[in-house]
Amino acid sequence: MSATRFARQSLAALLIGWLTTGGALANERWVILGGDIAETIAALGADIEVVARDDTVLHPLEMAALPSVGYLRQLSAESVLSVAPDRVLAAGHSGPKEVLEQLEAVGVTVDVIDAPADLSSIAEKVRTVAQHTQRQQRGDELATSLTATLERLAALPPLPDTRAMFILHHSGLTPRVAGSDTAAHIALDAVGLDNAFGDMAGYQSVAAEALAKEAPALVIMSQRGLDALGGENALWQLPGMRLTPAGREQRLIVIDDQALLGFGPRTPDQLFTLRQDIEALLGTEQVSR
Amino acid sequence: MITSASHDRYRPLLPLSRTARVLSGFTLALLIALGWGAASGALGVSPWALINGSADELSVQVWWQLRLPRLLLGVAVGAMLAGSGAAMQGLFRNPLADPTLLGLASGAGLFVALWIVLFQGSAAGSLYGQFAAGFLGALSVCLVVFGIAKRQGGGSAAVMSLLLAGLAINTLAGAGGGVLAFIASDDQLRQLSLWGMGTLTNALWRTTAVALALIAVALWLLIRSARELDLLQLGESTAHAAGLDATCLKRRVVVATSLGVGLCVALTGVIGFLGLLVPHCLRLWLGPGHRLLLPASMLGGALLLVVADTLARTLGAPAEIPVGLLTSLLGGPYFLYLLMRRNRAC
Repeated sequence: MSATRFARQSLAALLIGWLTTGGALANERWVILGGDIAETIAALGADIEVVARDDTVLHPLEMAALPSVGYLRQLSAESVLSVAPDRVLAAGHSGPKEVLEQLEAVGVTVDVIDAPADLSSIAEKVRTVAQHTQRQQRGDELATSLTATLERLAALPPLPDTRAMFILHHSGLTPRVAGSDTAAHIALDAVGLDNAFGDMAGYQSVAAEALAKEAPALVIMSQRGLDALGGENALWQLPGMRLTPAGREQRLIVIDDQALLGFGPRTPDQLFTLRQDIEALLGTEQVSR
Repeated sequence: MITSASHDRYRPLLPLSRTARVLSGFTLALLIALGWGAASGALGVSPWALINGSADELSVQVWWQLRLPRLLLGVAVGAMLAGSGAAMQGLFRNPLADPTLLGLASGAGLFVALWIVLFQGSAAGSLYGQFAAGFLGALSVCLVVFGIAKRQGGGSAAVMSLLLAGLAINTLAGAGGGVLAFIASDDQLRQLSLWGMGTLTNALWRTTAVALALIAVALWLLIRSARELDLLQLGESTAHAAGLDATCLKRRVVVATSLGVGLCVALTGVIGFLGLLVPHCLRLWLGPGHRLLLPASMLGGALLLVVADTLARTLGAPAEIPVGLLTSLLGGPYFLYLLMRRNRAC
């Protein structure tokens, strides 16, 4: 499923939604917390009046253009209430929990979509959001197609053994690299790469010698992370980077971290894109379509 | 000002009228601050509209469910921190004693953090666990610091070693927090960072009510110790001759401050320097008598924290500035100024 097809489907869904909803939700004011939830609502074409979002909602653009109530992990009840919401649909990691409790105490309906951060929960998340926004049928269709995409990805022939590293950003003197128990680790695994730093857990700062020792053949970063680092040249200048196969060959893939790591409806397609980029870079002759 | 609240100027009783004047003045100022705090925030809810019933349902709910518990928590925490500072300064006979500087707050913080990382349980259960952890943390630090102070006796050597002990404990607690942050899961990390900044944002009735009750007990214990603290300023032996049971007094003050500070930290994180700043300024203004100084410090601390928190809520609205940041910005320079003055005096 390409991006254009996704856009077409979303548009069609929007149209159908607009024609078929009875307007049961039309007069409620919604606040959406969490980029993945916002993307899911857009993909479902839910006919709801979203009045505000949080800082992590960057897609779709019309949702990102709404006023923000702050960062979803550090909410303040009054700033959410300042947009006079009736309902809040929040990603599982929204918080602090006390603030959600305060919102409920004031009479706002708060629904938390508590989906674990893994690929198999994407479909479930879509169905749950669909239920909350009365788009069950569209939700089922979307969930089925996303699951099918993930299954196709899993069925691809294995890549040649490739050790890759995902750099989140640069913290002070050392890059912060994804270990296991991270969204990035799941993504690397899903496209058939070995995470060179899979032995450590979470995002950790990694020293120059560890880079040389783990010898990743490929670096994956988001454009934002790369910009913060100071561009591609700065990446290869990092201490120890020249001692890695990735540094010697200057093998880098830039990804859209929101789409790839948010585990929303765009993630399966993004995984496919990443897989194709890897194949192009490694010069393998496999065709993943 | 090398040692503490001048031992030689001990006055048995302040004229009641002055005490009453000062305390009622503070109470009035606190009420005005509460009125201002009640009226300001990200949402405009005017108290008048609430009083004459013209406010809409949402405003009424916001006021009762969010703003009122938060204001009350601000009063309780401010009073507790400043009251603890005043009592500790009296107990150690040392104007630089303060829950933040001596490491009580960070010790409590470390224990709470440990508790979060080790036994993260259900919300209700975890809250009382966090209270207990904060109390134990503050208490153990208090005992360590006390041991050091006892060995040193009075004088400037004691001030120095107290400060060094506080520095060491703060450093240790900081390092411990770092280790915990390193091993904590993503969820736990978020919880740690949230209360680490010092904020009243989590005020809920169910937590605030418990906190108010326990803090009231701690404050009452401190107020009850005022006369004995005055006696203690004469020096241990003189106080003993005057019939003071110093051990009992110390125990009471240590338990009350540890309970109060531990509770404050568990609920709101570390809000720095209230305990140093408020009693210190008030002692310069009102003199060293604890019967006035303790309640005045409590009211002053409540006033300062309510004002600071209202600023924290409104300055960067809709975002919130952690109020601990504001109080430290006020208190840090003041502490430096005190140190410089001490050095000039030496």
